[in-house]
Amino acid sequence: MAQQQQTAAVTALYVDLQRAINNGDHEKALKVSSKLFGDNPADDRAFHCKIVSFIQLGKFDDALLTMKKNQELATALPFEKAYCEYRLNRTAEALRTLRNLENPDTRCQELLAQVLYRLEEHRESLSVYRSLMKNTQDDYEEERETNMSAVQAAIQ
Amino acid sequence: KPLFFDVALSLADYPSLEDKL
Ligand SMILES: [K+]
Repeated sequence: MAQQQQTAAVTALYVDLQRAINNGDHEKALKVSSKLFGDNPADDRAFHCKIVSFIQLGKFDDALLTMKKNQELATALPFEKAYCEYRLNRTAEALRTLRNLENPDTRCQELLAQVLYRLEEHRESLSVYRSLMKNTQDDYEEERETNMSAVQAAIQ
Repeated sequence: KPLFFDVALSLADYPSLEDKL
């Protein structure tokens, strides 16, 4: 899609949205991203922000419903979809969503490891964690170690 | 039950808005 000139009003809303995100104000982020997306249903960034706001507010049903109503935009957000399914205990659906991906990114692999753990597929979960440990370097190394220990304990 | 963190939630982050500001 060609980059279009953004109006000053839209820029002002994005400034509000960035501020809300920086402040961890997910209610406000939801309000502003909903306004942006309502005004421009082609705005995939506003759509993404709206979905993340729902997730951060624990509104997983609302997130899934919004994705269902906007399936074309939602195809770009498989991690978010699978995460909502996981949190709603639709674990088999979450697994299916993640398995359908040709090249799952590290976030999807992380979620896959959690989904497999919940499904008591411990050996496969462990193998996903081993690969993640090798290929990631972020702020969650300790949490990942703890999760891997839980998986290992379940195998023994 | 062993401790198990929801790391995926921490990874459910907002996209960058840099080019929109
Ligand atoms: K969990």
